[in-house]
Amino acid sequence: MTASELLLGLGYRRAVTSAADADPTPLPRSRHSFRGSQASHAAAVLGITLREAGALDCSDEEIAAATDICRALADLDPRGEGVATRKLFERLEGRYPRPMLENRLVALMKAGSVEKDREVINEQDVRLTLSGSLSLILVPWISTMSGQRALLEMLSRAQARAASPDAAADDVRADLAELRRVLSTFANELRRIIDGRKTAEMIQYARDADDRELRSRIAGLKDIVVHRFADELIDDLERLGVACDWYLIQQLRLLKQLSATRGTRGHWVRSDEVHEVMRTADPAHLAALWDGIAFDEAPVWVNPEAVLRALSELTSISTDDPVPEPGAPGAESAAEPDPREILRELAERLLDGADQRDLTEAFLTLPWPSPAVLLARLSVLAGLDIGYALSYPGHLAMRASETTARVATGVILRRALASSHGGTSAEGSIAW
Amino acid sequence: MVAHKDAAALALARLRRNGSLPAVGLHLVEAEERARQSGRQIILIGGDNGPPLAVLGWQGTEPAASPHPPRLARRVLSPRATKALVIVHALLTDPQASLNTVTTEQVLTAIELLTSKSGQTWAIPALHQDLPQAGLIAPQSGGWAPGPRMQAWDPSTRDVMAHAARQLWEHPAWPGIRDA
Repeated sequence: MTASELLLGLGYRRAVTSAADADPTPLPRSRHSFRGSQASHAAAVLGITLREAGALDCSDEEIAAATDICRALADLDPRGEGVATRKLFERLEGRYPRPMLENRLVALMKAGSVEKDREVINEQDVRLTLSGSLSLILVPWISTMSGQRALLEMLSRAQARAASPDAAADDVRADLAELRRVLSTFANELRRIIDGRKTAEMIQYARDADDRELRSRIAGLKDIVVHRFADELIDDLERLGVACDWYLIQQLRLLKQLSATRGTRGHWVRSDEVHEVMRTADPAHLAALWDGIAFDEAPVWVNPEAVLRALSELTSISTDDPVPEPGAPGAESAAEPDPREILRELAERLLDGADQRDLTEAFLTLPWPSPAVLLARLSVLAGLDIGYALSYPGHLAMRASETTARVATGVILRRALASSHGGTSAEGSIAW
Repeated sequence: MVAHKDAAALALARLRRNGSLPAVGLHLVEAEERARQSGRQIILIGGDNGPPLAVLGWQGTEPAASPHPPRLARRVLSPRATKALVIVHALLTDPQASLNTVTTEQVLTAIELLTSKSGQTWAIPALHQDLPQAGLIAPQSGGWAPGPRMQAWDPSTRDVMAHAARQLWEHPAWPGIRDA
């Protein structure tokens, strides 16, 4: 026994194939692109009985024309004796182009909704059939049926059956199961719309949906079922409750999204949705979608952050480049040694008690940059005029080493008399 | 009936474009209903110095611009126009001054006192062009009065502008303007 035979024996079904060894029939790549939204909706609803969905493809205006042909026939011919097509067209020509009316009449006759009064050549009288009159009820109903309305219809039917004294548990169970399936599917569809931010559909759903009514109707149905079939259908009710909760969660998500940021709804519009909405939406819908945000000249928005920045600029204290104040001797400056003392100590160290000293030799031997630093400090000291002077005999001294040779100007440091405008300290005026 | 609805739709469209319109002759009930569906609301203002105006405002907080996804672009005032707006609003709402209108000179004086600089180069274009065009101020009696958009600010915008005004009133350099 093969594995597939074993599975079949256990109740599993074989995958559907067109022949025993053939691959499964490939699915179409995408659904038919309809000209009219009503036809698309009706074809999707009737898809379970359709061989090819495209056969239903007609525009919304063509659907309206066909419906009006059926209505006109019923009005013009209450006894079913036949109406001349000329009379029919005259009545409707103001609303629809003649070729469209002829085309729709042919389609209705092919479908069996309208028939010739007598099978006679050149006979031009037509009359509405029973199926044609049914289409007057069903076509508008199918093409405009929304999820919420369908749910309420199903609830009414299930409620009526459950309340009926002749109701059988199996029938009520079947109703509960159908209701559960539809609820779950609608909830999943709603979740897809919310997750995909399909704005137009979100608004449509929000407009149609009334979760309070649905909740109360389901609670009413549960009460009836519990009252009459508590023992037999408790599990079915449990499953229905799970589906109902799932649907209501999605409804709440939708309403929360739409109410929380209603003003920003416009910027949710996906680029591929814009053209479809522009083509099909009514003015109120367009306004709801794009009001003041997406396309038109929205009023200027006062950005709170910009206001706070402006406030900060207006109230900040001006910080121009500060002008330095004249220094005043303080405790810190008093603690620092007088630079003149430092220079004087340096000079005394070099003089070592003598009145003058030739520094040329020191400049030739001290490591670089000490000679330059020393000369700079002594030049400052001489400039301070506090009893020291530098003189330059004018000779150049040179000391050669193995690799380099150093040249220095002859410099002599000596004591000198300080002038009267010399240093400010008392010592500065001392004569040496 | 259809014509009535069209008139309401047209009124709403004109309100969207202009921001405000004289309320007389507008089909306000239908327009309000439609505005409500999209999170907007029509606010009636004025009436003291002219016909009442209908302003298209927002239910709750006005949506803020968002540079990040989902992006939302909003027209904003330039920083200089915003500065001028903050000063005009603070002058108009100063409880010590009780002004119904402010003059350009008063605004320039306030700017000079606050910043120690002249604001002529940027405040005058803001007062004469940016702010009136945005409907935030309106010329009145030789000065500037609150415009329709300022009168229809949402609560959060009012809060932030009131905060800015309080900060300016408490500033030591804020002018002690009194209504003459």
